[in-house]
Amino acid sequence: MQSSLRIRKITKGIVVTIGLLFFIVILLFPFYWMFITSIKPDSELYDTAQPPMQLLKPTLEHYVYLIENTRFLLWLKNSALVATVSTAVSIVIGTLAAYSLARLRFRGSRTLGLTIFITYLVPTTLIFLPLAYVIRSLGLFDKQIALMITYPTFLIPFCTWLLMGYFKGIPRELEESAMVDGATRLQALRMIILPIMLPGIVSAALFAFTLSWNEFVYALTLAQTEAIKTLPTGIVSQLVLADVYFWGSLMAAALLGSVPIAILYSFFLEYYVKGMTAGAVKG
Amino acid sequence: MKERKDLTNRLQNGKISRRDFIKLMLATGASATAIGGVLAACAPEPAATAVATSAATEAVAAATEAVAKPLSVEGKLTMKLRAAFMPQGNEILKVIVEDWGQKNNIPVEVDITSMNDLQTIAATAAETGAGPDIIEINQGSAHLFAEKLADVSDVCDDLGSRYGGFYTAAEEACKVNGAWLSVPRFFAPHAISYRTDHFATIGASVPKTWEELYEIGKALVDAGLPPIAFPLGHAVGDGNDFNYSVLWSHGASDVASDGKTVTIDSVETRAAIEYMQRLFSVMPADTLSYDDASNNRAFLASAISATNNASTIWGAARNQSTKYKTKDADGKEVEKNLHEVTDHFVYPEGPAGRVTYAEFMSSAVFSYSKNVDAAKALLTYLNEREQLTPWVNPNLGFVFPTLMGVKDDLLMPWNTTPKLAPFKDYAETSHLPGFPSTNFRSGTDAYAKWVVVDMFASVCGGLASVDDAIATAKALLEESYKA
Repeated sequence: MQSSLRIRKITKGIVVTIGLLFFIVILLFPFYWMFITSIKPDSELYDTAQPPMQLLKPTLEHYVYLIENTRFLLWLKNSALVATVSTAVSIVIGTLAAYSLARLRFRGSRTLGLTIFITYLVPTTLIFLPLAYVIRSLGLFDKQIALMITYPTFLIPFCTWLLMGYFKGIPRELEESAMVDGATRLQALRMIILPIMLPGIVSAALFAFTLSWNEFVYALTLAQTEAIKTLPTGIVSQLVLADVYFWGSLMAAALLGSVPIAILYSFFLEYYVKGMTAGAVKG
Repeated sequence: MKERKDLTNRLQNGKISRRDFIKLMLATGASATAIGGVLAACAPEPAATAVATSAATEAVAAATEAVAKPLSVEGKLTMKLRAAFMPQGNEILKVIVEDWGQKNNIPVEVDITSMNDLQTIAATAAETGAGPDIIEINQGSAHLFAEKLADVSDVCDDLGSRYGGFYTAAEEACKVNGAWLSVPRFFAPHAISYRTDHFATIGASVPKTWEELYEIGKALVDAGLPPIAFPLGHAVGDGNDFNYSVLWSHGASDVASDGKTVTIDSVETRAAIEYMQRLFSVMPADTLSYDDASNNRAFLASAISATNNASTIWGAARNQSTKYKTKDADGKEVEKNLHEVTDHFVYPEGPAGRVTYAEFMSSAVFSYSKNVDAAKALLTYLNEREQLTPWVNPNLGFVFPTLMGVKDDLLMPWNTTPKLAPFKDYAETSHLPGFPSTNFRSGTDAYAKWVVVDMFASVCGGLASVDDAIATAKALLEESYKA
């Protein structure tokens, strides 16, 4: 009996490990590919006889080129600034909007919620021209703030939609109890609901930050000056010259550019999981 | 002669300080004496020196006149330019622009970016009325944005009169209803890049006709050597360049000279498709999905023996010291420089001779700009001989001036580097989509829809019969030319 339990435990362990390994390989392979391409000399990159996973003479020349010959660090800073501001703005507005739609009873709230969700689904390629027109009318064309204003147009619907689900999962009784005890609605939201919502807010912030970090079309059209470009548009403009692609440096930029996101995720993931397992209604 | 060669070599290898070179070249515009001195040092032929000196003296006179009328701008003068493949060429261009700004006390902001980005930026500028003062646009975009562009006829007339006029394709691209709406800037000339060692192995010489090219392709396959490969996919530059050139040189066209009658359903088109099918039979199947970078990558990896391209394959192989593997006399595997066995030949001729597609860029000033006068002055300056030479030379044949009078200048790369000589006459046989009519607006629309490329590709890829492919192309072309 005991050995049967042990076998079952071992089998479960093996299945889980294989499953995890499978996903780890799938998820990490792009990073491995970026890394190996970024440290391969051009002679190996263009050698079709050499197995693609093989690396004979690692080099840092692509990283040196990236740092010395492009404005990579400036673009990195620009991306961080734009993504941070847009995310912060979107989270504040998205949280309030989600709370209103999930909690307050008013005519058309359901339709409004659905409309906000549909807004998120409109592709950027369809609305970048009208948005550019609006930005020009505001006199903000080719300024960094243009991105900080336009990114929330897709981040707020996203955050609202995501956070509405979290709000709906929190029992109304919690805030009603607080209000019975004399708290105003805003106090109940701030002191009771938001601490419980924190995992959801962190998730929404992480996704919003990633969406801002990777955004391309608005960045290309609204922030055209080299000094205010973000990472996605900057590296393409200087590492794709005519039909010559600087593959090594492109991969180096992609890899280095994903580091801040990876750090953010690894830092907040633990907090997020902890929050999920410590819910207000845990038995 | 030696000094000229040294200077050219140092510049093309990036071993000369760009600022030093700019100073040197700009000094040629400082005084007629200086021009004479520099060009005399560079030029072997006194006649050429005399012509160059005379033209440059005129340029100085024009420049002096320009200085007499002070320029001013609102804010700063901004421009978006297309990146060429040589970083030092782009850097030199920036320095030239900045020097002009300093001389004229005008703040200038220049951004050099990739072609794909420029299209989006130009479309945004046209639709919203916001963006840089000057944007480089491609092909016949001036026809598409005609209502949004400032008239730059005075700039073009001035440059044309001083430098022997513009090539036909430049006029096709930039002249709309008799007015120049964009200043022709450069062709990215195409030729066939090929492996001299592979051609030598099968005993082939440079083909003069498309038929001879097919025979070479077949011989390469028979010999087990890397095949020829020409793009049949949506490669903006290479794909259009190859497919339109094959179509036109077979005497076919998508439209009649009236600019309205669609003529794609013709005996000549069928002959072109039949040829393309045969050519495809000796090419790798993935040419159907080639983009502009695919043939570069395949050639640099020694996976193909010939393809159509600008000079970027040879240039990149030279810059990056790309190697290929071969065997020495003892049968031992050795690595050698790929650029040494890479050369170019001009596009072959078809039954209708050599007719090629123009890959072309021009500088447009959008009418929303508050700095039209300064923009025009800068564009005039950029296209003068003194500024063209230091920019064109290090780009190793990727940029080709649109003014006919500067092609023979001694420091132009096709005159200093024999392997680039096949690019020299490209512009003379080139045209824009819409040829042989003058309806380049509709031609550009059809080009943007990939009608010609897809017609060939659908037959070669087995997706459509010849009749069906032509019928589809005809329907799409009628839509474009009707509009």
